[in-house]
Amino acid sequence: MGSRRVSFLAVVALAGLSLVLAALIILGEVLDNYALGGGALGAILVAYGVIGLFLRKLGITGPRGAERS
Amino acid sequence: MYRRALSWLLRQTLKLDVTINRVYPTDWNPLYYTGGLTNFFLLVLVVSGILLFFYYVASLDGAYASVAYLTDAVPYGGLLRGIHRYAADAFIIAALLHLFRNWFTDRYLFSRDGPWISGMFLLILGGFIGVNGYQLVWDTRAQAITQIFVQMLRAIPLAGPPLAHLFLGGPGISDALLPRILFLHIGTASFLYLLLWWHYVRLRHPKIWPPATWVLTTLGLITLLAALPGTAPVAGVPAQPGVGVTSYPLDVFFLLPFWLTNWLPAGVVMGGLILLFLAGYVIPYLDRETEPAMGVRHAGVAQVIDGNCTGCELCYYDCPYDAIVMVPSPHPGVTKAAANRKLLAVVMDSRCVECGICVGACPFEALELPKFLEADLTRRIAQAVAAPASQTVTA
Ligand code: SF4
Ligand code: SF4
Repeated sequence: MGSRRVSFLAVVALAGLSLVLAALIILGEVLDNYALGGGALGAILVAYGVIGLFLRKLGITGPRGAERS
Repeated sequence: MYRRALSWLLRQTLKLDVTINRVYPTDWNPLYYTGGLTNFFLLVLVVSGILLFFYYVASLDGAYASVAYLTDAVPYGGLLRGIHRYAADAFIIAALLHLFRNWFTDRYLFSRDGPWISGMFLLILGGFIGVNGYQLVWDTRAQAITQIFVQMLRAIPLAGPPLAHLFLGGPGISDALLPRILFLHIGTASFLYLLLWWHYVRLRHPKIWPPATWVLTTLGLITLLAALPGTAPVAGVPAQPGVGVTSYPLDVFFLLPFWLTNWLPAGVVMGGLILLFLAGYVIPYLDRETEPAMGVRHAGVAQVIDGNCTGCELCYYDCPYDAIVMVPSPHPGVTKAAANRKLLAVVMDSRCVECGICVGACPFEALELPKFLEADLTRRIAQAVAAPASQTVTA
């Protein structure tokens, strides 16, 4: 499996996970369970950070065109 | 010995860089952004601190109750406290990484002693603010560290007792104490931004902010840690006036000196801390001259050859010490390329450290180090390449 394919699958998996985490944030709010909501919020931020890395590896984000070799 | 140890540490630092660059693109390597990350954690601390401030009551009777109310009764209050606390730990970790990295990679020499000295102040004051933060909760831990801190202050010869009196707002602990600590916590944190200005003022391209991926990841990790059961900071037990506290939970990032007082007198710990930081200030001035064959020393500040300068600004962007300014050109240049220039590069003598980077940056042979001309450099490189490995080439 090529590294592009791995990166692509990682983005899809993390995006799916983020969706679940977003649901958990709402659930935490509904249940007044702030640890659940806060934990899911933290996890979703980490997931977004890692998605950013894989998007970069796929060449979808940065560096700016002028800086590409 | 010192130089050899640092050379070894430099090699290990570079190896670590290479390893991380295999995972992250080089411009996202977190080790290149230790300063930016520290700055980011400081911002998280300021924002979360402002929110915490709205709930805090700075009195011996009210402080603990206000913190407990915030933690237990305010939605996300406990999470906010956790974020404030873990961002403080992250601040110290990032600041220490930043310090060691710049030390091992020689980025404190010449005019970078300014960032080094200001950085040491930032670190000391950052640690001091962290200790204040623990005191503000006014639980048994706060009581214990306040008592030890006062002992440490009193152990300083001459200035110690008046300083302790000033800190306490009287001969002993009274209601004057917590407003003072709150002022020290917030006032010193604000002062950090003034120090940051000093930290950055002489750097041409300071990386003051980490890439978005690291903002998200680190903020996420801090939030996650703050929300995990058992790791969120609990307020402990309220302080009990007149009762000696013998044990309290330890935070290794801020309270280590207090832990040392289990074995050493408070005065010795204070003396050790002062010595440690004095040693830190001395680092830029320790002898670490490069080999004569490699050294560019006393080459004379860079000189612009007026007739050749085209005003292209490359040197202006490349000088790491902000020593070049571009001014409106008072007259045309001599060469064809420089004839229609609008700008002229001017070197500010007081800022130039004679590093020669601008000489390499200029495509128009319009810069030189007067005692170290390009032709000499080319000759020496050719000699060095031709010479056997054991032989050094000198000017
Ligand atoms: S030699 Fe050039 S690059 Fe180096 S400090 Fe002086 S002006 Fe800046
Ligand atoms: S790089 Fe050279 S030509 Fe360009 S502004 Fe600087 S001195 Fe002038």
